[in-house]
Amino acid sequence: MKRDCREVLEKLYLILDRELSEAEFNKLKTHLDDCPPCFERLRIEERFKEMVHTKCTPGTAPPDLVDKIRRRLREF
Amino acid sequence: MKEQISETSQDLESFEDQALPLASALLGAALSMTSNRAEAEDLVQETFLRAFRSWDSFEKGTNLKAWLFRILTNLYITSYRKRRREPTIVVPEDDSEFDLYQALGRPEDNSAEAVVMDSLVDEDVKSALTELPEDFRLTVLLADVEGFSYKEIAEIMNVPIGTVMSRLHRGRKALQKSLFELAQQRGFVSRDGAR
Repeated sequence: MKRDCREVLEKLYLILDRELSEAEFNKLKTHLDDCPPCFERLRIEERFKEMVHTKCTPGTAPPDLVDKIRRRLREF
Repeated sequence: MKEQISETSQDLESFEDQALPLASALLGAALSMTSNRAEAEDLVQETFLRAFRSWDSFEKGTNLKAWLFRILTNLYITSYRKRRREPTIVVPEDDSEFDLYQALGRPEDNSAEAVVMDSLVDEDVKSALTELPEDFRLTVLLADVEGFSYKEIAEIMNVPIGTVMSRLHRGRKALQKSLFELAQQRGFVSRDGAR
């Protein structure tokens, strides 16, 4: 494994979660564009994160719960 | 006196306009915390009451959603946590962690992870998340479902950023492993990778 691969692997979630500074990200981006396995790892993580987001995002809150909250706020 | 009353009702209105649209996100997190509908709804109601009580101390222009999630999390920890059943997924402490990229087996084939992920329905992912130990479950939920930054999660859960990062790392790996194995049990993945 190349040194740059190791760095991408270590910072994979920081890249995924956009937690790096622009300069740090750009440095790793150059490697990602040139290294199919690293690019692929990031892509799989992105898909997985997106899947968790889509499949676990709650629907709208039940109207009777919202009504109950409104009532209790007024009693308050 | 009259002025005071109208100020309060204005406050209530502005609180409701801004905070109530976040009820669904809070309920989703509460359900994941308690695994019990009635308790989750109680928790959300209490969160809104507490939030309104300290509405004066909320700094306008800062992140209201993160503020409400912090109240929800504190309330859960102080009043509800003990009642919850134990989770069933074990998160390993060592480095023998799951690697989805390796597990998929044919990383050059873009369809490999599509087969696995498309085979999972909403309930599969939600219940796998529910089975994660609490600290991991909440961290993954706050990051991946609600989109909070590491710093926001650290503030909501009152832990250092390093702890957020390690919980997120281990929590995601454990979730990936559990869902990959589910797809495997259902025959969507062979021993060599996705079909």
